[in-house]
Amino acid sequence: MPVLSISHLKKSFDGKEVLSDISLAVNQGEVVVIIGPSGSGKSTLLRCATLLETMDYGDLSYNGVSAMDSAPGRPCVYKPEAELRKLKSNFGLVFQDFNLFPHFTVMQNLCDAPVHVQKRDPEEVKKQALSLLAKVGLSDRGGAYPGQLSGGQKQRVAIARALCMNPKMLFFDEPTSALDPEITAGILRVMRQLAAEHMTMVVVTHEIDFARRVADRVIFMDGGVIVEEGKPEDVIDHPGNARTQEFLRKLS
Amino acid sequence: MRAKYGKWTVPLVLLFAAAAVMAPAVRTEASGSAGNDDNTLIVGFDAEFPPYGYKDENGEYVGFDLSLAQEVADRNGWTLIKQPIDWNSKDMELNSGSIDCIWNGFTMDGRENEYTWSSAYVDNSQVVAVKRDSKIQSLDDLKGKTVIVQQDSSALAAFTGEDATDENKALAASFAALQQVSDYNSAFMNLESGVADAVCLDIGVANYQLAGSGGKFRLLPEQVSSEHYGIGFKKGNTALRDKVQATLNEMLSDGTFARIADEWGLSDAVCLGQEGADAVMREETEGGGSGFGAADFLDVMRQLLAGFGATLMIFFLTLLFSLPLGLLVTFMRMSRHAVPHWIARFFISILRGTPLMLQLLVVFFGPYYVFRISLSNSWRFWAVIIGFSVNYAAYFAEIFRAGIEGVPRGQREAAQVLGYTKHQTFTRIIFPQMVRRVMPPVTNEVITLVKDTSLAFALAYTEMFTLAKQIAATRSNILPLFAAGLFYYIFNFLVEFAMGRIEKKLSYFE
Repeated sequence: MPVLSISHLKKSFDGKEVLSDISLAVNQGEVVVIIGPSGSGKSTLLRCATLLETMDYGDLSYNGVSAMDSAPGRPCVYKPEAELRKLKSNFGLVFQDFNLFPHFTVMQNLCDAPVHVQKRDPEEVKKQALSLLAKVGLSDRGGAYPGQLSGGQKQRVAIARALCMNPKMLFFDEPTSALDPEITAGILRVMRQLAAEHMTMVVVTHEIDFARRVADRVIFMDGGVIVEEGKPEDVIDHPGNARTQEFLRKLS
Repeated sequence: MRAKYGKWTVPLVLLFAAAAVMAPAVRTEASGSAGNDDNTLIVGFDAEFPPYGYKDENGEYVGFDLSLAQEVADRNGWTLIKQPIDWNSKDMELNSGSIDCIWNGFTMDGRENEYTWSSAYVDNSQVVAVKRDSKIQSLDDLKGKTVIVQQDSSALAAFTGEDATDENKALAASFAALQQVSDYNSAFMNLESGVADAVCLDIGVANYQLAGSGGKFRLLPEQVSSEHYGIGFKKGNTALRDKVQATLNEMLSDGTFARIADEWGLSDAVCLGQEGADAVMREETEGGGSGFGAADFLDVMRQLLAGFGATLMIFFLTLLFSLPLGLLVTFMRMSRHAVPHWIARFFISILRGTPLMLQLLVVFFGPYYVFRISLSNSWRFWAVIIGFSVNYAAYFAEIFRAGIEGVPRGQREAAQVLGYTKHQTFTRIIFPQMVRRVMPPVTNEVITLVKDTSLAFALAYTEMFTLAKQIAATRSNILPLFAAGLFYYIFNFLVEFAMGRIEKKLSYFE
């Protein structure tokens, strides 16, 4: 059973269709990288999958549990808020601009949701948070406020915050786009390590090199549809579609 | 031609009261030259003192004194300028030359040495008005009652002035409260609504008010004191006084004075030309202006300090109630449901769009005029607190809304993905950041509130500024007002300091 399953997703903004009939299944341990020009709908797809945006049509489920009350093919009716919150415990999301809570220290950023949302034991959460900080190389910054960190450090805290919830999968929405190139490498290294530990990941990025080396599957999106998908060596190195070819040529 | 009390006049009275208090602030500055060099006679008067000087139904300033002044000006070829003044500021107006004289049922007794006087022209006495069905039958019955007088009026002087008789002082001491109001409309609204039990005032004014009240009130048979009215000129301005006096004498001998007195129903009260009427004018002593030493200053500060307690009380209670109320209004305003949303918008719109002073008057008198609930004297204080709290809540609500909307959208989204409930998102994530963001505009409002507390005078609640105006009036000196200004400044300096500290503390994460 796939961890994430999206079928026949349709989404319009003010009558303009931005996603038309997208279907996507992500299996346990799989790393899926989504590439495509801006405006192609890849961010909207991620926002729909993480319940930040509502879908118009289609189904969304995690480990076989659907977010919808509506019958297939009918306009989407979401389950009650409490049900959706349970579904959210399946995944974490790392934003392009971090969205750390500025009034919390690094440790509070990591521990607040596990303690107050998941009602876990504060001591146990604290131990986990410390080991996660060590993992992203920020053991000494637990008491700092986000405002005192560099962009790269902030993004590493954001990854640790997502991991502290013990999610079954992680979404990354252009995690390096707000960072300088020399800092990008550090973030990608953390993500590669997660992939090596078999974390299920869906990554929207422009880092083609990362896609080539880490992805199990690459999806190229344009104009609200999945144009091409497959192994990185096929999609990136031998694209079959003219639009994919043009996008990759412009990028390199 | 006479104003009558009735249900339909209440909104107008409230509006008018608010407008009249503000009137002095917007008037054009009159010529600084005292003594009508430029062929004008600027007469200062209290525009709410019928029948001597007031605004009639056509919006004209009329009255016995203004008719006399018009005749005097006409006979001398002067242009008469009728200048309504704030009674508490009469000495500043006169001394600065922005008016030439005070001609407005102006009591000479007790003020003999403070002005250059004309001859007395009205013999006035202080009487007590009560509700028709009141149990009060004599002055002795006033024991334990709330009695109203106008600020700096002859009635007030008769009870508490330096020349008050021991009898009157003892009588005043037996009252539950001797309450001061700024005008007689307000005094009779207080009396009618039950906030006060009696009004003590000049007999001419009393007869006028009773005639227009449709039998709601009656006068006690005993008088509190008797006194005389004269025209007050700036001390030493005998040149103008003599011209005016000569013309008045002329009007007396040709019968014009008696005719005008008759027109205003004051034939029984006038005393111009009677024996002894010109005694004060002839015996005018030199000097006598009020000096102001260091001891006086300390005394004034001590008195102001007493009023400052009331100011602090208004300030803290208003903050205590308006901050949470403002947050509640913000929630309603930001609600997705139409009913609370539009209630909040209407609330904010009305409270920001009308004068605070008017809102205070509505809160104070509303329960009586709308629901016929008899008001108690302590209601005065709570009306001030409610009026201020509700008004400030409207402003705070909009500040809070801006603060909440200013928190980046990503904060809410991050919380949403982490599974926070709406309530947790607000209390744990949005609210702490909102508080930090609203500190500068909230500080602004708090500082404004310190100064706005002075508006409590509209309900005759004696906070510091009301007290300062009263002291300034009795001492004929504006220093108490500056002293009050000093209090406000020092208090605001501390407020600014405290808010700065809080702001710094709240920016721990920046």
